[in-house]
Amino acid sequence: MIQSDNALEIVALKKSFDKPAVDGISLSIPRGMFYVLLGPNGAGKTTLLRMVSGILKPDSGTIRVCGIDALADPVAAKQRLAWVSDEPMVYDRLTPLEYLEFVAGLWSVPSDVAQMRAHDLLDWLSLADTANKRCGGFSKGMLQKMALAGALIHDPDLIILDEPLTGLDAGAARQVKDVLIDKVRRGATIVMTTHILDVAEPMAERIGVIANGRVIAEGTLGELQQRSGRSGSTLEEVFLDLVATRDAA
Amino acid sequence: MAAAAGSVPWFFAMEFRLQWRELWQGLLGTGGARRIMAIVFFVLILLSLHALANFLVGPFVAGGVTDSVPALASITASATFFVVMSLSQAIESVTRAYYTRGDFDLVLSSPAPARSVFWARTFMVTLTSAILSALMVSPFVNVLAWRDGARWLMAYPVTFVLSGMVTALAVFITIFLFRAIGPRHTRLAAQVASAVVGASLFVGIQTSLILSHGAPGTIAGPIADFLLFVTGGGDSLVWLPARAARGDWGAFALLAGVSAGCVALALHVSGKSFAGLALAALSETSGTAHEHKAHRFSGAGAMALLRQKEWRLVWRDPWLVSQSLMQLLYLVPLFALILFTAGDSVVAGPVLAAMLAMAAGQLSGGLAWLTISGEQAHDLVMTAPLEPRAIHLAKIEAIAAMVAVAILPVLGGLAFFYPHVLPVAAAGAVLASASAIIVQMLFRGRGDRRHFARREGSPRLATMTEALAATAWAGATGVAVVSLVAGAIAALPAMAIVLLVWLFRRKATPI
Repeated sequence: MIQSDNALEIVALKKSFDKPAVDGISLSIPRGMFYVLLGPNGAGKTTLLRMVSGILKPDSGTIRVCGIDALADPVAAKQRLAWVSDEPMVYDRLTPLEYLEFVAGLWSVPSDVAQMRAHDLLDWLSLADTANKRCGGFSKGMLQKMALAGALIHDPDLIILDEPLTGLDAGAARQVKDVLIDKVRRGATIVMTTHILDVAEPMAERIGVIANGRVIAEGTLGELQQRSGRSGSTLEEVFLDLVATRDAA
Repeated sequence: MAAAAGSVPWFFAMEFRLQWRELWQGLLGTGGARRIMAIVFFVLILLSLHALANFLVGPFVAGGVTDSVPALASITASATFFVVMSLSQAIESVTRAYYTRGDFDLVLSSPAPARSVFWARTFMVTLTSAILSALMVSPFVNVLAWRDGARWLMAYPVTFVLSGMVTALAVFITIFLFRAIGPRHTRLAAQVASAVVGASLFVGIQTSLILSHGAPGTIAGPIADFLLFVTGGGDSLVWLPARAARGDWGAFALLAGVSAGCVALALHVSGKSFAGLALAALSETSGTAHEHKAHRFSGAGAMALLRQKEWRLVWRDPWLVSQSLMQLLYLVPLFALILFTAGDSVVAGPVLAAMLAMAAGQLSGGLAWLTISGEQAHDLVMTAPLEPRAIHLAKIEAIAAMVAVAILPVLGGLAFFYPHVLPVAAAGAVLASASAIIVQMLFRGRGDRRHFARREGSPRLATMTEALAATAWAGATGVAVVSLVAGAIAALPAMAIVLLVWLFRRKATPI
């Protein structure tokens, strides 16, 4: 197996639609890190993450997931990662247990292990009572927690989350955050986009700021504060300052 | 002058703009070269349909069309077919007006009167129904106008007037269903009613023809006979649309008055209760009451789980099952033909093989759209560590199994009564099925499964070519029963259609 210190390495990644959406982004994210990607609407965050997850093909550049070239060997790369989007990817006519069995099967998790993990995850996310009910009547928060359970059932090394907290109430958001922090403690790497900067601030070990398809700043909160010349300010203030500076330039 | 915000014309203008954009983009796509090719394709189709219409109505107009009752009966019978098809479409459209969540939360929470929305949508259903009907009848009307005089062009306004009556009837049916069985079941019941209305006329006539003559025939004949029987062969109000279509202004005025009255009554009756019914419909959720017994993981592999998932999703959706079964309604005459001719008919073999291929193609197209474009967790499946071709293969296997289950009883009957037809019929069914799946694969998009009948996300071109390919394979299969060489030649158009689809395929497909 290929070993790498980085869970994710992106080099000169480009993708254009009508105009460049991702314009030569390079990033290295070490294993076991909680990485938050910030940027205004239309900055290219989702396009970048969709390329990393193998849903979208880049025009050029390279992506390595845990040392595996994701473009040359997408199946091996996908085996190591999980993708959760802001729209829960859940089947309304399946029950949570049937859904988790399906996802575990896609990632070839042995059924006895999968069954045990499924029950643990449903307990952990307070969904055990609904384990045998169809997902069709679930709330947005329950569906999002289901999608997260699906992402975790194969114990991925790299978890990519695109706005996972959108639409969640405070309780559900807290549960999701606790689960994610626990996964990082156990060695997983998380790359997450969010517009809720108050949430991102205490969780993020490192932050990347994207605007117009490029990384305009990257580092710890302290480094970003230093760069924007606003020592001691909140992440929100730093972010707005960095984006405004970029727009002015 | 712009219509006042919140008024019926204002809502209608909004509906019209949305529908027009959907229709235009769906039919012609967005790219310049593709648009030109699509226009050329449609012109060719239109010319072919006009040639076919000329071939069919030629004998009818050869000696000039008189105002005799049998002639009026023939016209009325042909119109009945289109009216029934429009009614089927209108029931579905009116029901959708109650259940379309998209903008209702916004509109119903605004101070604009809910009645205005419903009125605008009812007018839009009438207009859409009229345009579709006019398109369907246009080859016949144009040929009749060319061969028998311009007075036949009156058939177009008659189509609009009849569409008003049809929409009013659809509104009454929907309201009745709401009152009788409540919002939870109305959507399913209306969709089943829509499908039954659409299929029953065709199936009923074909079945009666098969049982009486041993082979299916034209649709108009038995309806005309029935109408002549009901009216006693004399003058009747039943002939009013036929007279109007032939340029009788008095008949047209009377028909238009009746239609306007029906629409006004429907709007009056339904307008007041619309907001309440729509809110009741929107407050219904699916799936909450369905609890299953404790599930144990089976240990099946990824491919098996993909297939099982597709089967579960279809089986657990009563509406999808009903819609799919409606497509199988066309197989009922096949059973009748097999049982009642019991191998004695030389006509039955080709007809059976052709209809089986048609049914297999239609069913496969619908299921292929569901499993490919209607995939609910597209991103999840695409991020799974599986080769895309393995995912597609599993989906194709799931479709093939469902189609096989549906057509195996007919194949069994064929094997028993018409064993010599079986290999060709089975091959035709496989080819028609494969063509439909290929069309849906090449034009795969992202659609909501609830919009299964409309194949949301797939271009109209794909839906049309899927139907054309199924028809072409059906024809070729029927011919192949008589002569394999002739069948191979007859299969060329079907293969050309598939080739055309490959040329028109979507370029930007996800990996």
